[in-house]
Amino acid sequence: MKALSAFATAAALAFASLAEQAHAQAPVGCATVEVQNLRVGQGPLTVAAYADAASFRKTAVSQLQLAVSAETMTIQVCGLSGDAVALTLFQDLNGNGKLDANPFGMPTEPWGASGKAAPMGPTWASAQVPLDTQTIVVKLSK
Amino acid sequence: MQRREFMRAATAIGAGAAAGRPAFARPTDGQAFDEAVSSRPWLKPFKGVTDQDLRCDALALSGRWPADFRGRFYRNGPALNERGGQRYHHWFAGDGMVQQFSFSGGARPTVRHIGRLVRTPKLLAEQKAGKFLFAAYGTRIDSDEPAQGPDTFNVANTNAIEHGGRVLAMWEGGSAYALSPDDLTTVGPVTWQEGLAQMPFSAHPKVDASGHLWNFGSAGANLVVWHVDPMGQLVKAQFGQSPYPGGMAHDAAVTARHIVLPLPPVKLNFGEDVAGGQAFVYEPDQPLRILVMRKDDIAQRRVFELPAQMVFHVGNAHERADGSIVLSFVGSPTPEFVMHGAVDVMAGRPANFGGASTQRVLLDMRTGVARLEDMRDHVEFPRVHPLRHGLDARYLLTAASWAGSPGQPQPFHGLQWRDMATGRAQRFDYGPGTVVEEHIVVPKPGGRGELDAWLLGTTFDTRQGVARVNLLDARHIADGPIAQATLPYWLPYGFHGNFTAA
Repeated sequence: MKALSAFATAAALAFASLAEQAHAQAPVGCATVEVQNLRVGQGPLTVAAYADAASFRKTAVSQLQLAVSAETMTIQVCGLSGDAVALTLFQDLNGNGKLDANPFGMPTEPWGASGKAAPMGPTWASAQVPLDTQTIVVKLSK
Repeated sequence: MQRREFMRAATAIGAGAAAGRPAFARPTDGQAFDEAVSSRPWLKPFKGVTDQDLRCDALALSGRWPADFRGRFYRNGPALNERGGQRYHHWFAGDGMVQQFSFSGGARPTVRHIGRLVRTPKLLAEQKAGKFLFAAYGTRIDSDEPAQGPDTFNVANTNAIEHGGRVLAMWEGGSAYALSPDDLTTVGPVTWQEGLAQMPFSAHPKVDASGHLWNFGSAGANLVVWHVDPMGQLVKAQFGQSPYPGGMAHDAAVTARHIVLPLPPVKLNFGEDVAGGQAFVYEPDQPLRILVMRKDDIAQRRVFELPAQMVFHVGNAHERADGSIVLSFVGSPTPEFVMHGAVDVMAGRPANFGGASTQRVLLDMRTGVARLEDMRDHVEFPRVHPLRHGLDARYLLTAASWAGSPGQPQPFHGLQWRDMATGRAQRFDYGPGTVVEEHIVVPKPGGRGELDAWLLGTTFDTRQGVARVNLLDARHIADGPIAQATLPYWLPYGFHGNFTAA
């Protein structure tokens, strides 16, 4: 019982700190991104940020990879400029450095993108969001 | 409130719809459907089910159930059509429910029924949310839920077959779902081999007399051909390209050496709503293609072209001594039913079923010439003796309707058993007040000929409001059912099914 309440307190603190992070003003050139549906202990999260339609899914302005420590994580993506950004993310479950796909090109690892839901895969139009968005929320596929 | 908003949104979509089909401007919700069908009881099964599973341990029996008729009859179809005040706009959209009828045989036969929704991740997420979260066939659902791929939308609602010790519940666009034959518990999506998750496994596999299963899948320009052994293990998956990228590909026949896949000039824009007029593209200036691929190397292929028409289902195919291929199928002049009829019935309106007929085409593999013969009947759901897949089956069973029957205007009030050698058709008319669903051919134990078989299928009794399973003798179709089992409830109209002897 005691252990349970200690856990609850720890969880509450964790939520509070996440919330604080989420509402803090991101530094210039950075976006605050909340990533949901992560699988803890199942390979790193890879994030790529694109600046415009021409470079979308070709040349990222910023790229990072980080260990997954919680089902929902709030991260900062920096090195951005301009008015808009588009993010593509995936969790590299088998750690082979790429988003695995089946022979038809359909992803077989959890993926997500900023902006509007795009079942047939993200485009610059579906994924772009204003750079001054307070928190960009991305739900990875389950 | 929610409903009114939905209606307003729907009306707004309708306002922008293409002219010429104003009836589409008013998609219905559950209540409007209920009102519409109160005067047309035959449409009631399009209502669908709730999240409740169905079970009846002892159906009411009549006639003489043969002591040696033992086994499990599976059927599948779209079943859950409404959630949180929303109703799907197309018959093909609903979450699949597999029906299992178990026949004990013996001196005191019993028939048991269970019906269970396939527990896809989509169904579970929507049950939890209390509303639809994912786009469905012909129905747009606004939501920000992320999609992994086709299986995110998989409703496993088109066909069910027991193979390799498990029940496969199949859809057209994604993985087959494995279910337990004991109680239809959902095991999960079938990944035939590592790396092949989210691959389409279509809903009309063909199992040959040796138990080998052949199937295909298509998405965009891509094609896959599956070969699964009798134990349910993948032998080989082959990948290729469609000669009509993005076209609907529903059902393929097999021969000893080939796979024969009709490709009608119709495309589905999944996620588009029928109310918007963009859900389907019909290209009547394009041919009906028949893609013939070698089973051992699908890159070796030939594409035959016929005048445009819609094809859902094949009957059978076989190879003649000269190497030409004979394919039987059911085709209709236009895709009227999938584009409009299947929308109308979901709104509680009588539908145009499209006038599909039995056809046979001779495909000359040397010259590429196709010769078509139309038998000018009105049928759907073609089936042959299951041990004749790929061989020269003489008889073709279909649900049918014909002029002058008191069973009209209900679609499919009877059965037709056509002798493809003579062209002669025997029929049985279930008569007024009965809607006939697909019937299948079940070999009698120890029987060797095509006529040593029963015909097994479901009907909806519009007067009693209940579903019934019927058994006929293939030698005496005109006599009607030799045995019937009646449920104390109705079932949603289903598509296809298969029998496994016990």
